Amino acid sequence: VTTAPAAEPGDAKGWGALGDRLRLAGDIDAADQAYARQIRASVADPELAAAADALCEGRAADCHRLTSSVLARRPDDVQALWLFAELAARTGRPHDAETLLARALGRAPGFTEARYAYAVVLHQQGKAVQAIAEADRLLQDDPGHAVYRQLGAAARTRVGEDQAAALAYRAVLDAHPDLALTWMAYGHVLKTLGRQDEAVAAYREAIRLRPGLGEAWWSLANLKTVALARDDIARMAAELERPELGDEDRFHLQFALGAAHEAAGEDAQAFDHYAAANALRRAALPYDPDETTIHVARCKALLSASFFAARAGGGSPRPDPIFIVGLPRSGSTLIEQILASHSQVEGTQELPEVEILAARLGGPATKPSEGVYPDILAVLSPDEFRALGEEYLQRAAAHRKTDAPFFVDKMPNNFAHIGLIRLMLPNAKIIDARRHPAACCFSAFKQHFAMGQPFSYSLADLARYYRDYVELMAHFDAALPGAVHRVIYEEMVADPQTQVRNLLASCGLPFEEGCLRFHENDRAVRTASSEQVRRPIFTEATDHWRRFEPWLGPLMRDLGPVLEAYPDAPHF
Amino acid sequence: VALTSWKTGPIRLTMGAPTAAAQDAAADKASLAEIGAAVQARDFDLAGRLAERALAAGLEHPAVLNLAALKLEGEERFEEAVRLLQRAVAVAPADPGARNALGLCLRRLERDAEALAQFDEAVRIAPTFAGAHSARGGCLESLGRLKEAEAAFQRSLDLQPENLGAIAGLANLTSRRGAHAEARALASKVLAAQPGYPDAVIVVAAAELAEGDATAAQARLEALISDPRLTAQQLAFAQGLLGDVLDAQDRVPEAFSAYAACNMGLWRTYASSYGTPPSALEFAQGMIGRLDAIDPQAWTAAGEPPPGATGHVFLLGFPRSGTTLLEQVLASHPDVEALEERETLSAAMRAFLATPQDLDRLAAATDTELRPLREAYWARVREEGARVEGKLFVDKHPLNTLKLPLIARLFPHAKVLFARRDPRDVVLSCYRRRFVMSGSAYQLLTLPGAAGYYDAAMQIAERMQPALGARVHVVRHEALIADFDGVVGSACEFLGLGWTDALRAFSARTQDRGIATPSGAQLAGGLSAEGVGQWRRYRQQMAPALPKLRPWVERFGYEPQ
Repeated sequence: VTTAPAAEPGDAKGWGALGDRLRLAGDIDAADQAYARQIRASVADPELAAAADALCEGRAADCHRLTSSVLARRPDDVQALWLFAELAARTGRPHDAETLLARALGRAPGFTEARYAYAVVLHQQGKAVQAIAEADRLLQDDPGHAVYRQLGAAARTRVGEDQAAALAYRAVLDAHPDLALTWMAYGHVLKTLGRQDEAVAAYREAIRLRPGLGEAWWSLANLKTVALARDDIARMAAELERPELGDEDRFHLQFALGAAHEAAGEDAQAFDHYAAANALRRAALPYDPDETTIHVARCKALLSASFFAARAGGGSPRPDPIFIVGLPRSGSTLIEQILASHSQVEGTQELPEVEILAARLGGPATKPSEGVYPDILAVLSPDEFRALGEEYLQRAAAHRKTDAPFFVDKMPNNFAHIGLIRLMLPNAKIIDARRHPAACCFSAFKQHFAMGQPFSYSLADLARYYRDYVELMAHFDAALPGAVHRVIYEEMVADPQTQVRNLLASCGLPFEEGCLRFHENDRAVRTASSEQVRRPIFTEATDHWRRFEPWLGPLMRDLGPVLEAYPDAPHF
Repeated sequence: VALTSWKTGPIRLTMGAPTAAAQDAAADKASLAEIGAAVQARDFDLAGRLAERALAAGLEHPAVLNLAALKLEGEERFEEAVRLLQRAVAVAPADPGARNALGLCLRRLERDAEALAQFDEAVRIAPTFAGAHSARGGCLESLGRLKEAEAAFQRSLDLQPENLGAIAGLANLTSRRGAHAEARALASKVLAAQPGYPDAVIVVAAAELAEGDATAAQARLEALISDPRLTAQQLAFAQGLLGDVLDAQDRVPEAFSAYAACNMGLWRTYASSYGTPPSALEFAQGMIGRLDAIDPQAWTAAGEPPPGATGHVFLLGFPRSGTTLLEQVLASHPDVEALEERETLSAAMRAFLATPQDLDRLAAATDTELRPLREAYWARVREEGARVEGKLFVDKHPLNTLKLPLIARLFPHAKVLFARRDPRDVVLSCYRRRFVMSGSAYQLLTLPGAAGYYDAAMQIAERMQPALGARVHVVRHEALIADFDGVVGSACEFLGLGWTDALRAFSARTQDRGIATPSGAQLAGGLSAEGVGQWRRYRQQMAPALPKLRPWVERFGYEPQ
């Protein structure tokens, strides 16, 4: 759906409906444009009309000026609040948008458009529970509305309500069986639930409806247990030949082709496709490796042993969370599955909550290096750390299903926030999942991540990121001796009996046999490793990367001392 | 006096009859009497609650508004308090108490210029109101007008020798110019009357540090920091000074934590004034984007020579790059008239640099558009007290580097003297020193932020270089310290000034000039190489700033490691 028919300029309902159709079809930019026109058609006030024109034409500064001026005089003008919120949402300030929309809804609870926008910004900020509540409220008044239902389903997958999400997607698909993207989202939920055959069927249906839908192809490849056939390789290659294919589809297809060739033992072709996929992805991502290096340097500068000593006694004393940190593809899903097989531990997923708190602490800067995190930790009081710890636990609770005393948060990037974690939750356990640098980096290079991990689309970025990670962890090993338990993936695979016992002991948990039979655990798993952990530990993966060594020279050179010292850290 | 008066300043209330707006005169009189009794008993909590109730009942009276505002101030609701006090001033324009209270409240919001107008009016109406003179002094100090601040404190003390605010203010001013013994004597007077008075404790600690007794200073500051009654600013300043004290003991990681606590305290305190995008850095980045799109030739244009002055030079660089020293030196020359960090370009900024996009208009501006701004500049220079006739006029403001496009268009005859110092020392020093808060100073509160802002300023200067050409002369701070006569001599030559030995005696003048920047106390001691290469001691802490600074370190020819 690229050239949907435009509505009449004054037809707010028409623009709204067009926005909905575009959103369901996955054309988010066009949907936003239609929603902007909807606002323009809804406002009668000439100043707001001018502001809405500015929004439609992408003149953010003008829109800001005009709307502020209206709000200065009429702070409760709900349409102005709505417009201001849309502007905030589009300029990367979802929190401001949320505040504005909450104010508008306080004045006008029946303002459906504002409520929908509110649900969307809540969802964008990871406030899934609230987003679900808003989506449900919208559905009360308009029960079959596909956009609301789909938003509710997407939010439910964030808090592990996968069964309910699957039902909601199914309901949307029963009414609109031609929505390729919804079939794919449905496939993702089925995969998480371990209903692999149905997931494959859903992905295949998405591909039937839209053969160039790269992400659906990649999702099939990413099951890592379903080899794509010769025929699939030919079809994907043919799609790549279509010049009008968008980059998003293109890099997904390249990743999928890489995986398909690798499975067929065609390593040279596989590497070519991986390289092409990553180059495309990297070009579209604004990742600046200096940002990570600067963050690591700031943490090292500030978070000294004396810094922690001076702040002892703050934070929430609750011991509930077990954080698994490290790089993606370093065995963290395996560790989580082992821990989650313990009777006292609940697995959740990669929770964005710590990153959300850290981002908020950093202030409104556009780049993290221009913000005040982690410096701001220097001025927070013990009570503020406690409040942060409690807020984390409260946010995490939304992802929990049982009352097990402990739960696992396996967001790998949390290694960047160990200082914050330690200060707000001093009794939480921290596990560092570490894997051979070349194996780990190459595995991440082969992977397309649905979100985050922007450093993983170039071998040079990966090597630098891995080095920054090892440097920061070495700093915390020195500043907080014993605070982090490290699991070396190769050691875990070689001797699970010992390593699992050590892991459990580090968490203060008694040994349980079930932890060695983690693959029998039927819990939902939603990372790149989801299908791998449904099998017993297998050892061939540890040196699988060596097949690709001929292409990994630059990576290994860039890893340098980190590679030589592995599994220890070099001196920094 | 309750400790809360640290936060609210002197209280002066005029209780009187209800105003004409009153509806039930008898009831209003009764509630005023009740409130007055509470004030008499110095029970300001009760008075505040009663005032709030009376206000809700429609009693629009200055004292009632003042007390209700005082209650809001206690709850840190300064914006609302200001609105009540503005009403009080409207009801009773001649009530100096209301104006004084409004001024104090505005100061809590950092609205110093507006506050000063209220204090000016308060002392005009009531010339013997010692508290208002003292508050006015504090306000002038914040505005960097140190000489006038000193006069205001002095006036307050003439009227009321025991006025603690004025004594503490004088102590602080004295400390700032490095006269620690004198400052300590004043602070001790304050502390005798009111033990723990934060500003006085800070002055004594600074004296102890200067005298080499870091241990005593540290204990004093740590005790002060744990006092929950400190305002956020006082807490931040105490932590910053603690950083200096730890630095003096070479306890670098701890000093760094203390500086971080200071800076982040200030960051939070001033978030409402400076925390809303675009930040000064984003503004500068926007300018760079525009400059890249504009033909550099646009910045070379004809213009008029300065009226009256024999020459005109802008002394630029970056904060902590040696501009104050250079200005002090030049100001010692009999043919030079200098202004230190005054906003001489504000009219021009409003007209042609309110947003980065304005640069497009500035590049294309005609002389008809620019002439009034040039006139406004010279008028402002005169207002600030500079007498430029027959002199070389030095306009020193390190952050005017970011306004070079305006300078180039308005003053094509002016020269530019550029103070340069190792970027790493500059940025570390910016991070460690405490400036009068501004959008730019807000940017210096983190190391990557300060480095980014430095980078942006240098990028702007670099883009303006083709237009300025031979009108620029760079003075390296390190070179000036190593070879004063040689480096100052060639700067003078560039400016068309002859050599005079008076240049060497600059520090004698420093004591007297009331320098508002953090350099004041340092320069009073004369030339010092102490600050050269300081960043090496903070090598690990500086790492977050280095990526942005590395290119400038290289380009300016400083040692890479």
